[in-house]
Amino acid sequence: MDENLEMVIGLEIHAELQTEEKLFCSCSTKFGAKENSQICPICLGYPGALPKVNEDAIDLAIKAGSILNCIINNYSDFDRKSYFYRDLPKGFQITQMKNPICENGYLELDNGTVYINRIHIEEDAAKTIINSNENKVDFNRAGVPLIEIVTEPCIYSKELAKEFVENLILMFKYADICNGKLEEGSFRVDLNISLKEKNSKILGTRAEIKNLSSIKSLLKAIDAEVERQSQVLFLGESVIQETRGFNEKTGKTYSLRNKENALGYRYIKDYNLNPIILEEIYINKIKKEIPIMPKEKKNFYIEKYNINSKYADILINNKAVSIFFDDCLEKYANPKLISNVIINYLLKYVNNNIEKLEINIDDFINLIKLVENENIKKSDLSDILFYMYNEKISLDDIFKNNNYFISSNEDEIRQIVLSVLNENLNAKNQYSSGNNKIFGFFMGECNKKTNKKLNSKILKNILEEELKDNKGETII
Amino acid sequence: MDNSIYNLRKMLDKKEISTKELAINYLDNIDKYDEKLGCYLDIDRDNVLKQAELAQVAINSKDSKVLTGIPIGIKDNICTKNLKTTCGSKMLENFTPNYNAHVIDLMEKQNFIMLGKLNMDEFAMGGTTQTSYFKSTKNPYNLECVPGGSSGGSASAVSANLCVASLGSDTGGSITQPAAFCGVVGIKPTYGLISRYGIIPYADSLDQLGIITNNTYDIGLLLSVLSEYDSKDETMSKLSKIDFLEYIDKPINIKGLKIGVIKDLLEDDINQEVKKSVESVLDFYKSNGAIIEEFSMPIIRYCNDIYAGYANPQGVTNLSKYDGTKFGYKFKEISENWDENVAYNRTEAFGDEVKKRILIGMYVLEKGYYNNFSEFRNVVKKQYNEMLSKCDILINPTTNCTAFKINNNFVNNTDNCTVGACLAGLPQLSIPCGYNKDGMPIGVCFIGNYFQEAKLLGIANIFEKTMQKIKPTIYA
Repeated sequence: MDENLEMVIGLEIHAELQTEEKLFCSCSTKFGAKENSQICPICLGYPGALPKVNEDAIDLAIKAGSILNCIINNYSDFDRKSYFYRDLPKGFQITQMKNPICENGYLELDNGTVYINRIHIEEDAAKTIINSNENKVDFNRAGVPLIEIVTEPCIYSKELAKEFVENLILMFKYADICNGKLEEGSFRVDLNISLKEKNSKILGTRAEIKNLSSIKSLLKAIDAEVERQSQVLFLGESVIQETRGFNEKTGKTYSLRNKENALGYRYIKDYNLNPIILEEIYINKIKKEIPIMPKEKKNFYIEKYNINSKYADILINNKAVSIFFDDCLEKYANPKLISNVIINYLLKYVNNNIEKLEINIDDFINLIKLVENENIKKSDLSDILFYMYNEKISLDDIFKNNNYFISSNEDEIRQIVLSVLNENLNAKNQYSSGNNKIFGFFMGECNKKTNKKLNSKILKNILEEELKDNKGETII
Repeated sequence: MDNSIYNLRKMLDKKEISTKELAINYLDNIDKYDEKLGCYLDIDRDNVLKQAELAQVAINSKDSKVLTGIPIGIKDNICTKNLKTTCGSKMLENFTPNYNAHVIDLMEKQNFIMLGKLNMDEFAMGGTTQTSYFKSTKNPYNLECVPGGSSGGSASAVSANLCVASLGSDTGGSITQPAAFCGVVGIKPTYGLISRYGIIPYADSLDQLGIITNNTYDIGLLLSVLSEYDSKDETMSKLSKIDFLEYIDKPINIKGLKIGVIKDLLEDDINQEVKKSVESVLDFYKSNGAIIEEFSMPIIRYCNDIYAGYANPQGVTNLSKYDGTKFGYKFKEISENWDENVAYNRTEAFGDEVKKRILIGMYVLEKGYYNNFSEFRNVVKKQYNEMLSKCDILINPTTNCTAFKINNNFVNNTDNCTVGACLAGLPQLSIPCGYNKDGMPIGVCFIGNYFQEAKLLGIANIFEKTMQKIKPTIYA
């Protein structure tokens, strides 16, 4: 890119709200159900059917707006956005154009501040399933509530774009606003990107890149589009305002449609829906339901539990993990050890997308206590946790079938030591002659002698004791 | 037999006639006259007799309600479960909803008898009932004349006693105008009084269910059944129970009543016989002690244009769902291109009047004029509200002429007297007030404040009692 140019990014994010029912009818929103099994006259746009707004969706939009420091409008209402497409049952989408529910927000991040233009509520379209010979439409998604978050064109780096999207997903998960699953399409990112001259306030013509299915694609699409637009400008041509797609395979963007040729969306108020009137008391009530956000939680872990910043990040970056951590601490207050075991041993089995960490918490706490008392070797934790988490085997059964338990019985250990020394008189003599290096050999032999795990501290002490005593004997 | 709900109710409950006899009586009437009149689009005879049996069971067990066993016709834009609902359009030729409009549910609860579905202008767009894809409906007083529209089937059927009452719908005069043309009583209630759920919309902010009967008392009876609250319609007003017959049962005192008249409507383009007839109504009330107050309302001359610019953009969006792929219409694929297919099928299945109004609506939306029309509408509303703050009711001709000949292309402004009050969302009642020299009915219109239907009925009822009705010529 020309050194005098810089990119400007604005993001439009569609997040499916985690309501039980659709936005304007009582059909289920559950993902993955049989095709066209969650439909009714309202979400199919049947003649005469009327929408009725789902108040849960409004509450979630208030929460989203509040998290992003927006003004929550006391008055907002719904409009119809018209276009013809097979996945749009009514020939229009009910959205909020003129009076959105939230406006003028911001989010402060490590790489800068992202300013929010607006958040509005709208209904999702159906899903077109494209087969080789026919196109099918699954209307289960039609009418699922969405919020669209529109940022200002204020993002000047990939890092900030990435940080914003990651944080948004995490915060929405914490507040149960959206499950943030890009791969299921419940969280969709559209990229608006243009190049402008540095030091200039005038923005260049932007292109909109649709349907980016992962953060990786978002970053690649930014690169590809910066490359393409700077080429266009380098050749002395001008960038066209258009909608483009991103091809994961080629890593390039391609033109979908020109805005110039398209009809307008012919926005018009939807009179079937009453305006959303929100009183401050109500807004405040909903705001109070928002749980602690990841950033505050991180600080809390650092300050209250003395956990280092890197570990705190790992814990908060997965809501299920941080909830599990909190639950553990309620049962047993050893944040250092618990965080250590979770991060270094348990997490390698845990999928990042889980909604709940499924492990028997009492077993886990017992395990922590055994580790703390050195009844179990840390090196065995990986195996034990594999059985506990992946195989769902109880701690009792794990111990029954395996020998992780460390023996600290001094008499038992002394018996083993004595028999090892008797069987290895040669070695014993070598040790007596000053070959201290051979101590490790005795340790190994003792451990081999039994299928139990021996407490190494105790074993070492007894072995030293017995070797010392034997020393005396040989002199006689 | 006096064909009123009031009388039939008495006869049925006293067992002077059975529900089956009554139903067959009406089916015979339909067989005899409907070929000439063209009121009915669909009659489910088996079901009529079944409903009659059920109604008789209720009556025999002394469990009859207002509408038990009463034969009623339904305009074909009101959804009826398992009975075709076509809106008079090829686009819905084979559409059978699997849901009832709320009003149908309410009447079914009382075991009414649904005689069949009544013809209408396509998608309620028109004032003649000649734009229906299926057939032309005639005026019972002169088969060469229009019955008015769009609820022309509903008005003509009641007038010719092919049902004792009918449901229709009104957006800009679609109830009152045909009621006047066919010499029957019609009410467009206050916007929000009756659920719109299941009534196929034209313009959502104006549409209202309407009722056509032979007298004001029956209107009151039907309103009390149909105004039951429906949570499925957000725009329905939550009201405490209204006694719609209050002022008929205890006649209202005319003395000192202030009756407003919009003099522009009597000065402009108006048939002199109609003018005289309406003036005689005013004289009647004056001679009984009412005070006549004249208002000037120049904007009334533009209300038809305001209506066109305000209703049609809404109509455009409501018609967008008819892309040809759904609702019983057989989609023809002529191209790989989706838009071309949609255009082709819409061209095939919509009639000229609908296309004309789509074009008007599209033009207004694309040009961005909609908000202007919305503002004009508010001005009209304000002026009506001001007038009604200075008088009890307004009286004006329902139409400026009587029913005209079919294919008379010169008449296209027959809603000019009714459309203003429709824009204002006010209740509007038309009753017959005389006949012209050719025997064609003339209607007078009573407009009251919001939710004051009872008062309108009471005032109109006093004149109605003095009115000598002439039977339709079809019976001569």
